[in-house]
Amino acid sequence: MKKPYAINIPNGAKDYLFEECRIRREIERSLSELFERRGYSEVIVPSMEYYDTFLQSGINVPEEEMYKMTDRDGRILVLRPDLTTPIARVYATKLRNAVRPQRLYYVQNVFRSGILLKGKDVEITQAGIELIGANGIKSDLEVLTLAVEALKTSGIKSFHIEIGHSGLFLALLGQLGCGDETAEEIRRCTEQKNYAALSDLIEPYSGLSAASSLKKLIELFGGEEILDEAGKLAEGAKANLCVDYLRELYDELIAAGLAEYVRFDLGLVNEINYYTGIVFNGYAEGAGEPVLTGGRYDGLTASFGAESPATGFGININAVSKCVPARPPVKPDTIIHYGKGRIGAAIELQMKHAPGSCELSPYDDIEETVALARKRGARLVLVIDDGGNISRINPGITESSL
Amino acid sequence: MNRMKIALTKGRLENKSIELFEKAGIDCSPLKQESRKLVHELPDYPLDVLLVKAQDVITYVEHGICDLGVVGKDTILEQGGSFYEVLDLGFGSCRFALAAKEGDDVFGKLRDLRIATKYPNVAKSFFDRKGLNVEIIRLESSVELAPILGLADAIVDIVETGTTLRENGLVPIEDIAKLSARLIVNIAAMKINRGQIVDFVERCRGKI
Repeated sequence: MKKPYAINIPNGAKDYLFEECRIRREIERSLSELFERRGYSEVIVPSMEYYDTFLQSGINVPEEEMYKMTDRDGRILVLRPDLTTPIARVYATKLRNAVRPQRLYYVQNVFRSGILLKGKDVEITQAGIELIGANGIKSDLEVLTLAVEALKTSGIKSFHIEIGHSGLFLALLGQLGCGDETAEEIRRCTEQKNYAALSDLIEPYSGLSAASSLKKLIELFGGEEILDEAGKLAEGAKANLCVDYLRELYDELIAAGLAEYVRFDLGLVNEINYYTGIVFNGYAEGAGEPVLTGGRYDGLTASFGAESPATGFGININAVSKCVPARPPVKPDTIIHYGKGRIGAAIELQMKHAPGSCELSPYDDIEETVALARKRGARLVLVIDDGGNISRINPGITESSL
Repeated sequence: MNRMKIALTKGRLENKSIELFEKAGIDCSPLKQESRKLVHELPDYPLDVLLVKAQDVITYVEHGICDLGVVGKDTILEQGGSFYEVLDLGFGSCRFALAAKEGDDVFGKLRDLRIATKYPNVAKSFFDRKGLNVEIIRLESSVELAPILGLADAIVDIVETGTTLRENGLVPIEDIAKLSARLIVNIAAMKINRGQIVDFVERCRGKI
């Protein structure tokens, strides 16, 4: 009996053929080259890690979204749902005594078991960088400028990056003095820009000025003018510092000629337990989800026993590849038919052609080679006979056979 | 100018949404004609309207196929997802409640409760918060029958006026969540198409 699972692939998994591969690999290659040029070195981490590693890092991936299995000793393994955590682990274990800062990059897949039949990929390629061991505005600036340049390099036509600061939200929340549960509710409503629910939550604190500021935060996304408005809201030294810091960053980004790619979203509060400074997302025309996410996470390496400031971002290659304009596929234009003892000459000739444009014929009968050329839509058959003489045959492509 | 797409939940929420949009000064006449069309282009406002089932509203918005959607909070709570939930539109107002046969001491039982519902996720998270282990049975229609016929101890369902419950000898025991129609927005669309989306949201906000 035929088993249906023998020929199918799991829900949400995908095969990529030809053009899709080419686009993805080109993006990966150009990003790797860019990262190398900017002084980052590649690391490759295992696809499987201990479940405990991701518990320890406190990363915000629900347990049910991790693919789990056990090793021979019965320990729980997961297919890595995230790359920043393993990179932080590598830093804390292998690079803790290395010269700071360390600039690391990766191009690898993450696995998230999504809800069935929602059309979400369960395997996503991420290309990203982490700058570990450096604090202050220059390191944030380095990472932000690289984020802009990376999205440019990937071939996306229209994109921008929105920057927020986790400290601003936390400072305002601190002034409220609510319990952890309410704080998480407020965070969720802010993340979802759910004004109605947020108003209800904050109602009991309406006497405090931080309450009205928190409500306003939801609407504070857009251009530079957002910072002026945020300046009016930010009371208390901590909140003010955050807004001043964003302005300082923005001034530097203007000076770098990147202002057109930068906006702000002060309601960017996802994974607030993880980020400790600036947070940023990249949005591109044609993608319904952020194509890039990043920020400063100074506490992460400490969870593996080596305290070190860190900042970085990851690019979702699956999402980016869908925003990049399609290119015409490379078609074989030439077929080489070669005689006895001439495979060396045939390969030499093939290698002179552009990749993908020339194919060797596996046939002995020239008629079969010509028929193949017609089916492929190739315009030329090159024949190398047993004596090494080269001749050309026009397979006579007609419109209808194309 | 780009045209925005909005997914409306077919039926009652659709009519209420159209009413609201018209009050907000958006001509929705193509939607009021009898037609089998699934996409309607509005004449004076850059908005294309899709009519779909509630669950599909979320799917279309999450994937960014639609920029906006109108869907009940009941569907949002049951299905979840990542999008901005920007407005409580006020209409379609009702609540999720736990209900059982009148006089039945549901929480006094020592064995795990059996709960019948069309909303298993809502029911599960409600009892999870209470730290109670329950067995959830998914039904697709007339959930009220379950306690009467002995299939379940109680139900989690949408309650509007409570008339259906009363007529079947059931009473609400505890409210779980207030429900109404919500305007939701795709996360990336909000960022890429900010001006247009905010204009639409503000028009609606002013007329709720």
